[in-house]
Amino acid sequence: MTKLNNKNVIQLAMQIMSLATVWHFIESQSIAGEVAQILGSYEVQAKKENPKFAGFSAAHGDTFFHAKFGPEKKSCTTCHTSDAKAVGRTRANKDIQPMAPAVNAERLTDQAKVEKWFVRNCQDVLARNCSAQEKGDFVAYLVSIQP
Amino acid sequence: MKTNKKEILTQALMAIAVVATVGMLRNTWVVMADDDDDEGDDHHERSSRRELTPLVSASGQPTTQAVGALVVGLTKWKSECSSCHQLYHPGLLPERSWRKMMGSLQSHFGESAALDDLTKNEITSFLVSQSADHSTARRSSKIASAIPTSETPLRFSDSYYFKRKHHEVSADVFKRPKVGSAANCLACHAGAESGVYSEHQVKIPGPGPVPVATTPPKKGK
Repeated sequence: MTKLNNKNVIQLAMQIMSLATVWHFIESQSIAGEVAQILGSYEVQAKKENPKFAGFSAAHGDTFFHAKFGPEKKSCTTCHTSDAKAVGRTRANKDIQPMAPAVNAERLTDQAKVEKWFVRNCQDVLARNCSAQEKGDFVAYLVSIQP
Repeated sequence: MKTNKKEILTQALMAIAVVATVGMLRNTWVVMADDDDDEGDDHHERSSRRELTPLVSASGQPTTQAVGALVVGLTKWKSECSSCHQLYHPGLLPERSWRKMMGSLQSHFGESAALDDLTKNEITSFLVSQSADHSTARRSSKIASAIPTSETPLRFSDSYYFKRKHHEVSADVFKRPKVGSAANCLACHAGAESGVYSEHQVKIPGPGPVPVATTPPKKGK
């Protein structure tokens, strides 16, 4: 067995570090890629719905998330709690994993799933479909949340 | 050196044998404890025939009885039908109930559970194939035959079979915080999702609040 000298150890450490950096980069790119795709498709729809579309706003998404709708004062927060990083609870007593990608890496990685839940939850909370602007704002809000 | 290796091998084999024996004994115990459930004719029948068809194991994996084409439907049933509530076994309701339910997902017990048509059709086929009136499980046949053909219940807890089986459970028990409602099978039947409703495995939670640990964390914004 060759004796490990300082030079070898440093070389090995550097190799591990560069591998880790490359891996982190690949991972962050693929997550960002999926989010970009989701936002991109809502942007296309938003421009159709409103020719004066001026981008998505995380601040509007935040307001939307905490707003209360209709005579029953329904809100996203009824089930998700007022913190998008917290575990929520369905009416039928099941946990809802946090929505912010910062604490739940599975979120915003599947466009069909995102759309499925917008379709359902917008009907339940707003009694209508959400506009692409509202959806995009909300996605932008979730992405903006720091761990 | 050689003897050492042999000793280690012998010890390892013995350890495996002990673990396997304990495992087998535990299974036997569960089957025996499970013996008496329905009154009357089926006292001595093997309990497994009386339970609902095991579709998922306790850990949620598809069982060997759910093979082939079933697995696609089963996987989607499992993921789609347990996002919001516990997984309800298809053998609890007849085909007509499942078809009615899957045809009205836009308003599913007061909430939208809308699905795309492909997923909806795959899950419907699976539910129908395992429904109370198509299942070979004894409990399912009893459930199906207890529902008048003129009725299409959407809640198993509305069925005569459920009411007969729970006649000794007072309304207060269903309202206990740890139970909530008759829809929460899991509160008392830990094996509900894998189709185990044996009376001998029932554990009714006492009155009192839900332990703090299981309530969602309420953090400020």
